[in-house]
Amino acid sequence: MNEKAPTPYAHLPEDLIKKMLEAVPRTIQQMEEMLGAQDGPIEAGMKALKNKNLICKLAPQTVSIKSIIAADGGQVIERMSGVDLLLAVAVGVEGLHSKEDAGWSGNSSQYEQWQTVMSHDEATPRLCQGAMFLMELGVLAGATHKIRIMDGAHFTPLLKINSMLSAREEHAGKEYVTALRSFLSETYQKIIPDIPDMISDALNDPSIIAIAKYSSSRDILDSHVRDAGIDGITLDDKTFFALGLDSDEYTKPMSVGQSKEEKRKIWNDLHIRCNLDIPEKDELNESLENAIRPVLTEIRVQGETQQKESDLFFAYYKPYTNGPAYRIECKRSLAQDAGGFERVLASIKQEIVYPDIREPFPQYLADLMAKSVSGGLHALQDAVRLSLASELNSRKRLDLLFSYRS
Amino acid sequence: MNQTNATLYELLKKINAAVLGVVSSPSTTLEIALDIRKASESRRALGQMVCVQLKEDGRQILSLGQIVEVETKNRWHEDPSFKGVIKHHGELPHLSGVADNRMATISVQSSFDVTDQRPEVYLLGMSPSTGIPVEIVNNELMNLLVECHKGAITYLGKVYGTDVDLPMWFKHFGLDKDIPDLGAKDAYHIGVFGKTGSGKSVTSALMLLAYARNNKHMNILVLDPQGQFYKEDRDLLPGDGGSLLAEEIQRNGMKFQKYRLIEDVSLPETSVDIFGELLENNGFINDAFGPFYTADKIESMRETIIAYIESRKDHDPKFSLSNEDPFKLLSQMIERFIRVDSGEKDFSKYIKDVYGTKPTQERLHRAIEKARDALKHKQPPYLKKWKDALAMFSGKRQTTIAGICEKITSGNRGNCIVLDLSPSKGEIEKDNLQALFLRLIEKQIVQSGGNLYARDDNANCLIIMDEAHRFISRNSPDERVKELTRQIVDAVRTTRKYGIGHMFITQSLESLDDEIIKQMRIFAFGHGLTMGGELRKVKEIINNQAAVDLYSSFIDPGNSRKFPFMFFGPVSPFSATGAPLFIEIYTRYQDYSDKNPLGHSGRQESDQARK
Repeated sequence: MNEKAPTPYAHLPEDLIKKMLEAVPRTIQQMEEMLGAQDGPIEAGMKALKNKNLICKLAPQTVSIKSIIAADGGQVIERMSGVDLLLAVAVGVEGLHSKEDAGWSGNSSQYEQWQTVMSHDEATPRLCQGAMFLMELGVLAGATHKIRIMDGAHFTPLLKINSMLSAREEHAGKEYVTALRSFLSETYQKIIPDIPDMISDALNDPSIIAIAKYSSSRDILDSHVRDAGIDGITLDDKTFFALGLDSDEYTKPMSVGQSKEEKRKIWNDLHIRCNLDIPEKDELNESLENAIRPVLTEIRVQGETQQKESDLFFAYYKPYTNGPAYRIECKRSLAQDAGGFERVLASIKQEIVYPDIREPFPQYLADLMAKSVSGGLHALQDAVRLSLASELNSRKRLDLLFSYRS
Repeated sequence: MNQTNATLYELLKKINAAVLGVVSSPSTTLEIALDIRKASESRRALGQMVCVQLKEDGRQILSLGQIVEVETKNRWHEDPSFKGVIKHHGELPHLSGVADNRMATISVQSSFDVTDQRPEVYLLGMSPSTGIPVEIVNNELMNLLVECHKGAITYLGKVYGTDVDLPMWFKHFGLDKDIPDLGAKDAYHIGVFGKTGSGKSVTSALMLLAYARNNKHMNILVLDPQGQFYKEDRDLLPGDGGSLLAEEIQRNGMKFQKYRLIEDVSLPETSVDIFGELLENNGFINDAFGPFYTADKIESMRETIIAYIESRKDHDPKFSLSNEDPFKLLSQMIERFIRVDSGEKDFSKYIKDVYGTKPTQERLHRAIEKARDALKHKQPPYLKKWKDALAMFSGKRQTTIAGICEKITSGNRGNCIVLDLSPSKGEIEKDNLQALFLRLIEKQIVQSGGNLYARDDNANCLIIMDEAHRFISRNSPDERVKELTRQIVDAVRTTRKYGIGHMFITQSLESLDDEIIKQMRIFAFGHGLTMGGELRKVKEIINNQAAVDLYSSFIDPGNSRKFPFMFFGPVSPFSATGAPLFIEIYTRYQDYSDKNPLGHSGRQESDQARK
């Protein structure tokens, strides 16, 4: 009897993992090329920046501010068989050393939450994310702490709010607008035209700073370093300064959009424009333009385009020799107050329990708290499902309560 | 609504019990998880008796249990990243303490159907739903639940770590037509365990009193190797009043008698082996016929004396250890030892039974001759020892072993006898001799109980054996203890059907024979059985890790002045599921006497007797 040749069939995931592991040496080589070969240019770049007096050193005796919080948001959409369940939250938590003015005074809110049910719609993620960022800004703007850390960069909430308000591209209709209105009224007793104020509050408050865990910006490398004739650094600013700065060194705060590329890509054209089918659209768009004007690098005055410096500043700070450098964004008034800025840096350093936690403690904790929203969604989903299961009169409809995937 | 017509459920609703938390997950019918409320976090939870009200098949059910484990969980403190923060800063602001969750485990003891006016024991058929309030049981609730069992309840102490008195019952072993709750209809074997100072004696004494309350139904015999019960050690019933055990037993309507075995009790004629043991123990053999250089030669000499006495009994029907003149009997024995009778060569068979070689036989022969000469001319010291041993068979003593055993297994109830087996003047110093006495007593009890059983009657009797580990161990190097162990194991197996229960009081669970442990229905574990083998045994018996952990956490009474005990078995209306109960025994006898009226059935008689 002839033996049949075995049918080719992979052992999964074992075969796949084996292949991945076999590729490790190549991956290592790539990393070495990217990081190791940069030593010379980094040194030269740092030297150039020092020559330009753009590198500072935190004074050892700088007094920290013991009133610090961080805020973060979380959102999740459960696509069920029949409907979409949306849940968004934002939380604020205090730092390790929050002693002065600790707590959340009467009008401030330590957390916000919104949940709703919508029909299946491509645009729902825009609404959910936009709502989350508005809530995050609300928590930050409402708090009274002297340092308030926004997770990420200032432009991220602006992008997401823009995405929320311009969702008509994805056919956002009446239901979408109704949900947005109910979010604003339920959460803040506000209406859509109030959104610009909410943005403005956050963009103008010098107590609100932003710390990005991840950033691909090359604003300094593409401007000051390249201008000094040093080219070929393939890293981003954050990695460059992680490798180049010494402990407690930081870059002098600079306005965003130092490089032409970054200006062009982000700050010249940053906008929030509503295209939803709402009567207050025109008035809203005008207010939105005014709200974000301080951070822009290009504005139109009487029909003419004018360049300007953004009121949003940024700096890189490296608190520990072997640790990362942090990209910190702040408002002009803080950036120009050297002593005040250093006090903020000292406060941030005090909140970093390196190497156990790489980001400032409240930022890390807020992130964990916000991420727990998915657990909350499961609970919400179960509670809704259990309650409705007994009320739905047709067994056929029961399936609509479950997730569309197993 | 009229209070008397109200259902138990309605009455329970009116009780203002504090809510400790809510039922959590996972829970079973035997073990309920509990989430403790924030408001109750500062309350003591461990050991608390708690209850859950639920509905099953349209009936109102109340489930009671004891909290055997409490746990604090804080997810932030468990996060490895936050460990670094704690290391540097000592705590997590706004999370340490604040984000704590406290969870507990309830070991379900009993469930009752409280739909009607009288609670009925109920077997929970469905695990409780999460979110149901868990309330702390207080005395008011407890009293309401046991109201219908009132006549059968005895209180030995309070629920562990609380101020709630724990209702228990110590039923007699027969059928009780008047108060059914009082009769177990079965004899129980009981174990009371605990290291020295654990409160074992106090607990045993209170249990003895609890059983003594069944004065119309039971007899009790206390075998007391250390004389603690005989001497009525005041520590047995501690407190300011200085109450004596005997008085309290009598106040409960029982007739109390106590005897010292070596002074008051006549041994049976047939116990020639004990006579030999007494002579060996009190030094007579060595003094009279020594020196003996090895223990086996002393044993051989003892066997020789026993053989001589047996021979006398065989040849003379009138011969009796209780009637013989001690001097004359000793002289006759010595004469026989050195006389060479027909059929014997060189030395008497008695000497040859002790030694095998001629020089040693000659040496013993000379020693016996020397003893004979001494006896002729003066009163040698060993004569008194001979007389003392013989006196234990005297018919002039207060009672006999058979008399005692007959009394406690007879149809006449209400006798409590304490038999002191403790050593005195060197007569009974060794465990093996006490073991022989116990063998004798057990044998007699089995016989008497058997006789009663044959007459279709039930002995309804409790034998309390203190220091049991000394006498019941298959691993003992002493053959007599091994033999006694076999006999007691046999007795324990046999006598239950006769209505005879044993209560073994012992420091060690590990050394107690396994078969005895298997036969036990009620266990009381005091502090201290926490070492390897002991704890392993406790685990095997209890089979409930959380309960064993709680038991292991008992504080040494030497430090706390409290006597915590874990009871396991049918000792309470609240032990229906077989889960252990945790109790703190009253440390003042006054507390016991305040809570427990005199004898269940003999209170009036006793009161009248006192008048």
